Amino acid sequence: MTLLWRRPTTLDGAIEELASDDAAIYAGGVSLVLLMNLGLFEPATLVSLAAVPGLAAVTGDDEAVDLGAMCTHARLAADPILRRTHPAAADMFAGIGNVRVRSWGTLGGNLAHADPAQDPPVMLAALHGTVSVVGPRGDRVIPVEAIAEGPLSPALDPDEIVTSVRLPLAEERSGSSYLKYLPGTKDDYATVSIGAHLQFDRAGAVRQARLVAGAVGPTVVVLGAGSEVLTGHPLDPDVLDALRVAVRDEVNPSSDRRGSADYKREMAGIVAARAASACRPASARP
Amino acid sequence: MTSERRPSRSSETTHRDDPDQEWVSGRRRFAADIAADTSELLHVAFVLSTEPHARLLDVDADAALALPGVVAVMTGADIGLRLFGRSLRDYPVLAVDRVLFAGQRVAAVAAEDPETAHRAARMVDVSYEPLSPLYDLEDVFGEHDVELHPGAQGYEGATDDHPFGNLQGADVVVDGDVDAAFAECDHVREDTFVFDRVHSAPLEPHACVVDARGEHVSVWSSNKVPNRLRADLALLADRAVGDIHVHPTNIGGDFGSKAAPYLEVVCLLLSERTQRPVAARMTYTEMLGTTAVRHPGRLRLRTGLRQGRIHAHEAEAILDGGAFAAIKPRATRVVSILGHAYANYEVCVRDERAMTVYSNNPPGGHVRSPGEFQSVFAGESQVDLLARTCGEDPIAFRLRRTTVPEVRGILEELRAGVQPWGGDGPDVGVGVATFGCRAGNGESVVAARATSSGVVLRVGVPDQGSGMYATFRLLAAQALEIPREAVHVEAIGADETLTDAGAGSSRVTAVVGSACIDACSRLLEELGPPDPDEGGGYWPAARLERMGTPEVSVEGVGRNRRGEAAAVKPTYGGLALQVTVDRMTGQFVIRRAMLVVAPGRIANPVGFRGQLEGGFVYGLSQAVLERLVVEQGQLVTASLGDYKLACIGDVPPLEIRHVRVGAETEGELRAVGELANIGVAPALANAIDDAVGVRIRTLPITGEDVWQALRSVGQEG
Repeated sequence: MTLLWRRPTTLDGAIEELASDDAAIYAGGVSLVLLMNLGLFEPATLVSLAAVPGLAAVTGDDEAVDLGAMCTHARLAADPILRRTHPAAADMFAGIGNVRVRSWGTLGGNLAHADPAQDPPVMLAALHGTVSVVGPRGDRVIPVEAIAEGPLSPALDPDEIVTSVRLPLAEERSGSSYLKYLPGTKDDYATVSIGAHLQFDRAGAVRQARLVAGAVGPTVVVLGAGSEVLTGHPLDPDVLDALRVAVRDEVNPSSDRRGSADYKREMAGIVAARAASACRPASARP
Repeated sequence: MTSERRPSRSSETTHRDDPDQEWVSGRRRFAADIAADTSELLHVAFVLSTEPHARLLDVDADAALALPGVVAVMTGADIGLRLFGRSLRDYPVLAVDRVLFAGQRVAAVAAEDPETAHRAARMVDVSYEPLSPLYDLEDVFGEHDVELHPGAQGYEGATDDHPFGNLQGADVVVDGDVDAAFAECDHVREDTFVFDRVHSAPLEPHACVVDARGEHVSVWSSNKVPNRLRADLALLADRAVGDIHVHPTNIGGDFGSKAAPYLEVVCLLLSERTQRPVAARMTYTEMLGTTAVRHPGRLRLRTGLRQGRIHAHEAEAILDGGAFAAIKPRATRVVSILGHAYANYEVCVRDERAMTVYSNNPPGGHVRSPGEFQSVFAGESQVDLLARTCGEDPIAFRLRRTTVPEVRGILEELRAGVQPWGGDGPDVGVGVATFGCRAGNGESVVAARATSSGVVLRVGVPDQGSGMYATFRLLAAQALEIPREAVHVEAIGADETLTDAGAGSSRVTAVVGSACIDACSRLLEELGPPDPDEGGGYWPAARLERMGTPEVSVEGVGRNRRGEAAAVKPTYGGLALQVTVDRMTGQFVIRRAMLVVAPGRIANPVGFRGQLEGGFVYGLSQAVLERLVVEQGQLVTASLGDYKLACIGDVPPLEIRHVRVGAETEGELRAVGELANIGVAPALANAIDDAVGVRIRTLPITGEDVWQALRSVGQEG
């Protein structure tokens, strides 16, 4: 079977190319080509976004920072703006997979792949990120956590294109962290990962908490109960233990080679407590 | 024998230039590279059984044959039952009436390009009638009337001792009345160790090119035993041995995988049928699902102390050999699992028994240290448990009971080496293990020719990626006192004129290396010794001129036969690991490692260190990270994304030390290839126990295992 390769130079051109049957976006190919090699996905046309201008920039204003969908993970890990505004996110990008994955994989490709064990959706959802999407029926903005409907099932039409992710700037007295638990190889997917973003009041109590878990459900999970446990309390050991229990009971992982469901549930609680703890502003840490 | 008219050897696979750097420069060429340069080539993809145990009702290839680009489809019905096997021929080249594991080759498609071949292979419609499967040892020994090989007695290589139907083989080592010995013991402990399936995982997938147009057959293959490959091809494709030329071909890693003719027979038959050269290359999913896996199973050890001495030792191993015994070379059809636990200590009476059984799983093979990996894990774990019982320090306990001077030296060195590690906080532990590696049996002949431009060593053994030719060159250069650059190694592939047992069993340096040295000493007999007054350099050039002869040719022999006085002596090693354990998660981190080796002659320092470091990482990966998951006979970890190997980030700092015990060891070539990997699992289990007081008796050792063990004793964080 012939595989067509298209390399449009405008966003409209790309949308047009995607109208053909069995067309798929090529945005680095890390996951896509793997699926093709395994015979699990057989597109008729690949539409590369590499030549579409404006998709690989990082820009900031006084409210937010915008990450272009075609930025590679390596680029974002090293981006001076992101490192200043959201250092935990930059560190997350620096820890994805291995150097080959980071050099080829892109932010947009990663989010559109809708794999709940990927790192970016977990951290970026914790940071209240939103995804900009364009398509023939108009533009829309969706929260990062809503980009997946299920494993490998993005909430996107085949002719829609992710163009950027917008991260609001962090509030005063806030901290973020991303922890992934890797009991196997260092370049494996996480057994469980937690993105955390906590805002504190002047007394050091949590004013607002957002915790998101990866690899423990069909999509990334925003931990409502876990966040609620923290709100209004300082991060003392009792509160962190209550968080551990709440998260353990909130997630619904399945057993696989990275761990049994029970183990993953317990680890989700422990990693969440550690991630929350790591969000303390430097001055508040013991 | 028929007269041979061989195709001329192309320069692409003979190693007349300095080959040693090609491994790292990317210039080395493998079977798949030969395929890329062959015109009119057809590509073969195999149809693999999706059923673990079924009657084969029909193979409908009409749709596949109708696909443009498909040239031929071959089924078991086309070629009949053709069985291959190293010590037992029980494995059909293509399934004929039954399939015995999911992944067994059922048909083959030849097409103009590999993509079309694979697409067509997916279109071949195979009808199965599922049969009751035997998935694990519980199934095999449970109530059933399933006999997987009802015709086993008729297989070539079959033995008479066949107490029950699904037995692949049995092995026994007994040197006394163990029951009487146990009755005399004052302390006895029994532990059962369980190990899961891991894969041999060489970097290069199996690949071959076969050209059977015309009178002769040319074969390029990743097979590591070219002489046997040739004999197998002759037998299974009904050809004269002399018709078949197996060209020397580089191999990109073996670890016990590259010894069976999975692809070559069918490629030969398809090349005959289509009159085109034919190539096949496994996908990595095919590698993981169909080539050598380490035998999973269990090993029960019962060991008794009498007045502090190891008085009685009993071992019972039961191994899952999978659907076929064919890829095991040992006549017992049991991997070498007996005699390794407590091998380095004085034991009064031993009674060890092992058996391998058939199941509907991928066939077990000889993965690097095929049984030593499991049995040294069990033995060296239990040694620590006994030390604890006696209230002795694990190193002191071993020192008091070892009979091997090298092991004594290693333990002293480890004790000194780990001393500065101590006192490093809570949940930190140190574990040690000792082990040994013996060269396998075999004989090799090396032909050496001294000419005016250099010395050529002709060898039959293929370099499977260890860099063995660099070692041969160094050995010859040292023996002849000539520059290494003046020594060339010429690989010849299969050739009945030079005996060679192929690569494997940690045999190559000791056996083929000795043959190189023997050949060089015969050259010196012909040429006379080097004379310092001749000015050094490549002195044989002037000598040959003076002798009035263009060249001198000799042959050298190397052999090893275990049990004989002249047998290659074992290499011994010891490993210490320091770990920290996170009690909340069970995750452990190896902070540092020290490997102490009592080597023989170190012929090639870089290669030697490479074997030790590579062995350590291989052992670490299989002890901790790898698990080939097969559920209900189906491969679950079907890609290297799911079957994860250690990456560089997983490897802790490793210090390597040598100890010398006796000056004579400096001149002896010994084995090292299957040494370092076997120590990692027991040293790690011992270190974890030292850190947090729980004992892991299963492989691989995971954080979840440690967490579960901590929970079961109420010691989690």
